[in-house]
Amino acid sequence: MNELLRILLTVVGVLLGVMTLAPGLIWGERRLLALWQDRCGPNRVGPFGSLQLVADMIKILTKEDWIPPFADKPVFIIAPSIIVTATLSSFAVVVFAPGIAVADLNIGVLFFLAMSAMAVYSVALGGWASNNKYALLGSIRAVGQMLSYEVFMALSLMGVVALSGSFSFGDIVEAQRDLWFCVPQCLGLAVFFIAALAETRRVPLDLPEAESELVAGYHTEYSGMKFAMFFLGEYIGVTLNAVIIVALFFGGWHGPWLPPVVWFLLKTLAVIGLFVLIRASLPRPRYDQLMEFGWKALLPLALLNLLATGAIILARGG
Amino acid sequence: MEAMTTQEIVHYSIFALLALVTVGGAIKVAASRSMIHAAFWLFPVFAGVAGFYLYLGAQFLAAIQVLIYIGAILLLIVFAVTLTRNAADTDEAQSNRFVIPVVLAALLLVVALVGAAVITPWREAGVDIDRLLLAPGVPVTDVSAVGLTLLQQYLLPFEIASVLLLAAMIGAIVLARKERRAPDEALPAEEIMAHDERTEAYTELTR
Repeated sequence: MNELLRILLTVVGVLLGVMTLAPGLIWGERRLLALWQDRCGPNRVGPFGSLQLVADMIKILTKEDWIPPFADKPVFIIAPSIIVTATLSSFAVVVFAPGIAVADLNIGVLFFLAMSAMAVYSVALGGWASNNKYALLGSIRAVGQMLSYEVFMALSLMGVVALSGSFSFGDIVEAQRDLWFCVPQCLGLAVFFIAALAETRRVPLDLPEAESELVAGYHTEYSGMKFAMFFLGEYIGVTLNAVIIVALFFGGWHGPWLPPVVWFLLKTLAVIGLFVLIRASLPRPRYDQLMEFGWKALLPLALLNLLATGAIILARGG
Repeated sequence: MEAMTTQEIVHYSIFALLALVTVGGAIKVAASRSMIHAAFWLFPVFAGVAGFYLYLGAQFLAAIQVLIYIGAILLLIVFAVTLTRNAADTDEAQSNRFVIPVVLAALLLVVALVGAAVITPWREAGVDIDRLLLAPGVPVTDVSAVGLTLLQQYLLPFEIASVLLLAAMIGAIVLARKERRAPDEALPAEEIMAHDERTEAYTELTR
């Protein structure tokens, strides 16, 4: 019974934690962007505008649930739910602190990659089902971008897997007790970070929804709660990628004095802050530049990193 | 027939559910009149196969199945179908001139699969086939064992598969390039020789 209670608490705790952090991030990001871009940001509803999100939720939930008559109805409805489901289930394999994990699978890293591959469907199907040229263009861009950057993302993680000799998040964090992987795997970290930006379709790599060219890209026809699911999916994705970076490159829960979970949370917040800072400061590249950069710079870098890591492990007689 | 225990019922119903999803999806793929819906129905087929791997304790294979088949291959199929015209039309013909070769190829595959299942020495390998569904055994998650087997015991098939993929890739590049060259091949030689700056620049580029 005690065991069951512990499992239930972990599952509910992780879900609640993510579902608070991700929407909280929407408010946090708007405040931080305002700070860095010398604007006011949301500051009217509640102290420091912190209730802005509640107001937004009420508005979104009471909006008309509109499905365009020319859309492919079942696909249009299913599409936004895929991204939330896929990104949320990735959190199941992350180990937040010793003993705090929903399921520390021994294929954890692969599970994360598989789930982030599923998230692409949301964008691809949503754009296609909308039956709108801007939506279709956006989703075609999204598939090209996300499919390419997934390759670099997976390759950049293989160095970490080779060093720790395991796909499980628990083992990988444990292997960083003496030295965080961000030191020997700095190249892998750089590739993963850029790939994560492209996977979550964040500014500066938000070409699938580039509002100056495509109205709103793949979610042009979406409104109300269905739009909110795409939006929330993006922020859960940002949280997920920050959590993965912390677990795989920045030693997870390791740190002096404070309890492990607190360390994990602090590191995650710092990485999220970096994501926001990048959004606040960098301009959007052209689509062909994005693809060229990926295949001509990131792919060789990731392969080089993997090759060098393998050679060093062999030379050390691992 | 003796009564089934609860455990047996659970195991058989999981198997039946997975089989239903996989085979049902496959039937819908063949029966859907719109090309894009046929592509979407491939999703339960691949997911069902991944479910079988998971059910048999092969977590690594299940993850790779989702990553490669659902995450890459099916996505590319959907991508390609989206780009074709009339992807959602339902008045396309259901059969074409390749029906007979396709049926033959499918039969060949059935023979190969059943043959492989029959000649594999399950018992010598320590697998109790009568109880395989009930006790799926130890999870096969030793990734390094999979890698070593691929690169030692099955090195030749592995290399042949990579050459085949390389050939397919080169073929795809050739097909994609051909269309661009077609217009100037269609022109008579004199016209290309004529003082057309654009053609000259173009032949310069393609040389």
